[in-house]
Parts: sequence; structure tokens; C-alpha cells
Amino acid sequence: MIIRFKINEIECEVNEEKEEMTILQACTANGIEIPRFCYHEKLTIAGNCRMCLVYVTNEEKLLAACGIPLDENFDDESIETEIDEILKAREGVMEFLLINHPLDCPICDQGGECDLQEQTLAYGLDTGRFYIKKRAVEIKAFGRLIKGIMTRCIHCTRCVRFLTEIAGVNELGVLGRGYNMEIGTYKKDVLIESELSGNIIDLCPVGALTSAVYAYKGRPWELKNVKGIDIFDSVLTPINYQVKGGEIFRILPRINDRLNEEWITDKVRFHYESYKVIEKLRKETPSYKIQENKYMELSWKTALKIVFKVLLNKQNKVDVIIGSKINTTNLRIYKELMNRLGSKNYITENGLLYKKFNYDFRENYLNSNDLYTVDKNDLVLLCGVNLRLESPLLNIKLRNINFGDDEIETVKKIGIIGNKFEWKDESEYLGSTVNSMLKLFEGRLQYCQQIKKSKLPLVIIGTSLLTRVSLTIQEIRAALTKVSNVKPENVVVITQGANFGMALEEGVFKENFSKGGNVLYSIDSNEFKISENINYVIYQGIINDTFENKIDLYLPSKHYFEDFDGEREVYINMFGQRSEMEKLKISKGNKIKENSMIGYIQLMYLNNKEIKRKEKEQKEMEIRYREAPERKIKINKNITINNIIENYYMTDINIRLSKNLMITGQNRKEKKIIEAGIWKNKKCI
Amino acid sequence: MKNRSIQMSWRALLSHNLQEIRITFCQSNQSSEGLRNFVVKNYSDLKRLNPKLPLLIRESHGIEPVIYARYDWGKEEKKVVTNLTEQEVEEKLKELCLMGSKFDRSPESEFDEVDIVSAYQKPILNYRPIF
Repeated sequence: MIIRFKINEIECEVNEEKEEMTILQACTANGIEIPRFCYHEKLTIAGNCRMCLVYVTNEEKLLAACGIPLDENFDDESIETEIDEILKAREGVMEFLLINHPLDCPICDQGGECDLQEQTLAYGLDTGRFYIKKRAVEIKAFGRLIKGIMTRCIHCTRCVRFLTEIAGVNELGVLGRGYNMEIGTYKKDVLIESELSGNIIDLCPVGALTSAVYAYKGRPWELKNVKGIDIFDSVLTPINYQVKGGEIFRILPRINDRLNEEWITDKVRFHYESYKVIEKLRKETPSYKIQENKYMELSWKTALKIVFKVLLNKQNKVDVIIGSKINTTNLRIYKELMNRLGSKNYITENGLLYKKFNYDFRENYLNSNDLYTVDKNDLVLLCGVNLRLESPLLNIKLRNINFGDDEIETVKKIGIIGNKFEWKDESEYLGSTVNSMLKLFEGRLQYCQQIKKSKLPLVIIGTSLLTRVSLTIQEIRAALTKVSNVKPENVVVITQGANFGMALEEGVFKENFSKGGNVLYSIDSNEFKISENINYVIYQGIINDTFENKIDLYLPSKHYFEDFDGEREVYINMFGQRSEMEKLKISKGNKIKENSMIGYIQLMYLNNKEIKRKEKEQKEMEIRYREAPERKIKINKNITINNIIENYYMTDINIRLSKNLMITGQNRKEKKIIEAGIWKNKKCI
Repeated sequence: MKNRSIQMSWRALLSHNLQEIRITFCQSNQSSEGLRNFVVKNYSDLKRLNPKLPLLIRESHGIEPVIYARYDWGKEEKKVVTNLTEQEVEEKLKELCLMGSKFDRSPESEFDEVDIVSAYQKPILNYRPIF
């Protein structure tokens, strides 16, 4: 049935069968904004703030617009949002909310972006009528990342809904009723365990939950937005760096409905602390090792001379390992440099995991299914992947699938092979080895019948299946499509590292790299072990904590986001989508140079004229699947295919150096109770 | 039989003379149809003879069909193959391949050399599912 009604005398239509809409959604679709506190697009409807009241003809009372669906009763009715009756009602609601809200806006971190502040100005009463004492609530400790000043809370329950519904942890809840109502953890001083806990800071409409790392540092109107990318994850979530005077003050998500919706991980949100530490710890001039633990400072000229001596020496065989954050410009330059030197020994840090990789076709390293339509899949199989660690943002997408009504309720819809990890109740654990996967496809398990019955199954594969078992993605896809009715695009492989896709696009890879040479040239790459053959190490990067004084020559370079030609740089994520990044400058040392600059100087020395391939601009990407060229394969069936990340909070130097994030990570792993009231004792309030 | 051996003789030389091949074409445009068909028909044979040579196939919409060849010491050549048939594309690739014999080779690629004769003797692999 098509419903016709009026909003503020604008005529509207809603087709009831096609889309379900609430009054509030219909209003925003027609450009009328209704004030709200508890309603949020990505969360379920609570309807407890009562700020969104509207007038509907032939209704006795005012209605809360957020919770009431448009149905037959609204046919030929008219909805009013700006009449005197409603303005008066809003004033009343605001007055009630402000009875117990403290007047500490000047010292509140939310000031300037506070919903309560703005709506009080727009809809509130200009005089106060309550002179009784205000209610006060204890400051609650939610760990080192989130500051909870619960007196400011207006009980909208957005944080509770986010954590229970989307993040899947039940740590926060509503305690007490009426005057005694509080938001808090049920036990005292419990740590919020989710990797996405930082998002409740963005959700909170008032200053009750604020970032502890950003506390008392800046005001939103002073900060400038610079577009960036989350490089800890191969989803490459878009983020905004908020910058003032060459310093990152905080990091917020950029909204992208297809990828991250509105959420980012704690890792990105709080890692910026490390840049300050790096600024203090790092060396600003090139240095050369004389003895153990003794370094001599050099000028750039002599340092580069030494580099050339090492690179051009005929007895040396040079390995180049490029870090996982290094951008496309530098990948091209260092590939070109090594080619000019007559060598093929270059690889990215994540490429080291693979013995073999066929990167001839795009579908071998990119996925065309970005899990946006995941709701249509009726069965999910996870092979050797712990999504909670490998990609928390994809994890919440999958967690929120509703499988809908089904005839058979007893059989479970999610199969897990590999790591056992906490997931939905509907999941069934099938084993940890390759053997259990083979069993599944030979039809020896009960679960097989379920796979055959399903119409659109989805298979998600972790990196470990490719690295430990040495199968290619193409082969797995071909095998799965033969045995079951999985479509090739529904086999999704989770890859690691920000520039993995771009490196294979450029051809930066070498098979069996571990047999390499005797000189190591590491470009901002830390996370690997130096092999025994190597007797000379050149490290060109920011700071290194894993090489343990093995570095013979150190060349200081800049961060990945200040190190490219032009103003923008493009990365490709694991779904083949382009994500852009703007230039940001935070390094202060004059003598620090860009990786690209050092590369250009080296290439100049080799008498080069043109480096860039201008013709090779990819305009648009489309991935199609071909049949795999097949080969005979012998597999060790007893290999366990567990997830490759051991410690989520130790994977990168930027995380190891940001203190608050590191300690939170350790506490989460050990399930420790946090140091009680770390914020209570400090000078806060 | 004689014809075939002449036709095929340069194919295994690819990994001797070249370091990398990069092929770009459009998925739908008619101007790149010849190159597209050439790749579809000959990819598996080229890969069988040159298992270590990267044959990067990078398709994108509206792009010119081009074959790039990279030789030792960073030298690059390209051939534009717009509106060419399969056989003409093959000749262009052959030209690129034979061009490589003029250039110097680096000591590293001499060291890593694949035996060309044995590459021909490799059996064509049978198809078999993994699981």
C-alpha cells in the first residue's frame, strides 16, 4: 500500500511494501531535521530521550518520531514538527535533561561538538527553574583509553547498545532506576574487552565518555582535518587526522557505508601517541657503526657514498625488504633501483610469509566481494582465520548477519575450522587441521548436508591457509566451486599489510626469498628476523626495535604519510578499491629526508632519466574469475591452520610505542582487572 | 611438426631474454580484442615454458592495449597493439623477445638460469581437483 501524508505541508509518499520507514527517517529524507539524543542510524531504536516528539493529526498525544513506523494509520494524516506545542514540549524535555547535568562545559572535552550544548541553544529554555542540589555520580574507570565522567550522562544508552549489539561484549549496562539510574559496568573496574571500544566516544552525545588520550589537549574548532588511511589493516579504513601546528591531536573515522560504516579500531584511534615518542627517540642524522653500540654521525653525502659502495660492489648480493606501510611511489622507485642494479631481490614485508605466489592475475590477490551484501548469504564457513584479530571491522559485519527464519533450527549456520574463538552461539567448531577441511568436502561430517542445502554460502579464508599449506587462492577457489555450490566471488581471502595489494600490482615480489644474499637493505621494515647469511645491514626508516644493534648504516627517513610526490597518494585495499590519502607533515628534524628523495638521488647516480610509467594509470578495476591452471599437489594433512597474528597489540612499532594502547592490549590479553580508578586519582576535575 | 618447433622456439627464450612482461588491455573494448584472445589462448603454454617469469596481466577499462617488456639492467620497451589480430600480437611479442638477446645480462640472472631444453620436456600437467 502506498501511504500519502504531509510533513509540514510537504506532500510525501511511502510504499509500505518496499521500505519500512519511521517518521524520523521520512523527515530526514525530506530535508527536515528533528533533534534527537538516543536515536542513531546504525543502532537499534531505544526511544528514551523523548527529544524527537512530533505532532500528528488525530492523535491525542505527541509521538516520538524515532520509534513509530509509518503504516496505514498515517494515510492522509499530516505531521507537524515546528508548531508551538512541540517547541514547548522540547523545552520541557531539555529542562528535565539539564536538571542533573553539571555546568562544567568550559573544562569538558566535548565542548564545541556536544549535542546537548547545541540543542540547548536551539530548543532550550533561556532561564533555569531548578535551584535544588544536582545529582552526582562517581567517575568510572573504563581503562586507559576511555574516560568516564558519568555525572554528565543523560542515559541515552547509545554506548550500551553499541557494545552489546555490534561489538558483542556485554560489559556496559544500565543500573538502577529513576533517580538512581547509572550507566556502568556490573562489576567494579572491569575492562571493556572489545577491539572497537573507542567508538563509544564518538557515539556519546555529551561529554560522559571522552578519549583519555586526547583529554584537555584541544578544541574541535582549532583542529584541521587531513584525510588518511588505517594502515594496520588491509581493509584500509578511511580516517581523518585532526591536526594543529604539525601535531596529530586525535584520529576520527571518515564515514564510508560500504567499508567501515562509522567505526574504526582502537589501534588506529589511539596509535598517534607514538609519533611524539618517536620524535624524541629517533636519530636525525645518518649514522655509521664503528664498534658494538658505538655510532658515528655522518653527513648525507658520505652516507650515500657508502650505500653506493655497498650496492655496486660485485661480491655483494643485496636483499631489499620494503615495509608494509611504504606507499606506491616508493615501491616503484625501489623496484626501479634494484632493476637498474641488475637484481630481482626485492619483496615487501608481508610477501616474506609466502613461499610461492602467482600474482599474474588480479583475482589471485584481490577479492571482488567486499561483504557489503553479506546479509544475503545463508551460511558462513571460516577457514584458518581469527577475524577478531585479523580484521575487526569485517568481524562486526559478519557478527550481525541475521540468518532469518529457517525450517531447521537445530543445525548451525556458521562453521569454524582453525582457531576456536568467541563468536555467535550459532557457530559450530569443526576442527583445526587441513584434514578436517578435507573431511568436510569429502562429505564425512554432518555439517556437509547443511552446506549442500544452502543457496549462497560464503567462505572466508585466512592467510595461514595460503602460507602454511602453500596453496594458491586460485586453486582453493577452483576446488571449492567444484565440490560445493560456492560462487568463486564468495570465497574471500583476508590478506595482511597495507601495501600488499599494491605491491603485487606493481610486481614487487620474489619466490623463495629466504635463500637471499649477504647485504640487507631494509626500507622502514621491522617485523622479521634477519637471516644468518647477512653480514651488513642498511636500515632506512624511522625507528627500529627488532634488529638489536645489528644495523651498520642508519638513514633517517620520514613517515609514510609525508613521503610522496603531489598531494595525494593511492593505496589499494584487499577488495581492489582505491583509497586516497592526503599529505601530512609532522617530522621536525631538518636533516630527515623522504624515502622517495633518497631513492631519486640513488637513481640519479645511475644515470637515469625517466622513472615513472605514466601510461600505466589504472582507471577502473574489475575482477573476473578464470579457471585455474591445475597441478598435482601434495599436502601435509596434519598442519594446523591457525591464525597468524599472535599478539594483536604488538604487530607494529607505532603501537608498541603508544603507551596507553600497549598497556590496554596487555591487560586485555591477560584479562587483568585494570588499575582501579586511574582517572580518579589524577587531576581530572 | 617442423613448423611447430620453429613457431615455438622463441617462447621458452622469454625467461632467458626478459625479466618481466606487463600486459594491459580493456575488458570490453574492441581495439584490444586481439591481445585479449592471445592471452586467453596462450597464457598457460607461456607459463608452462617460463614458470619463473612474471606475466602481469592488468586489465582496466578504457586503456590502450600495450605489451611492456622489462630486460636486465632496468631497460624497458613497449609495443602498442591497438586493433591487431592474435597473430600480429604474437609477432610483436616475438620481436620484444628477440630484442632481449642484444642486451647485456646481469650476473644474477646468469646464475638463476632455467634450462630451456628441459622446459620443453616438461609434461603438460593433468587436471586434478585438490580435495
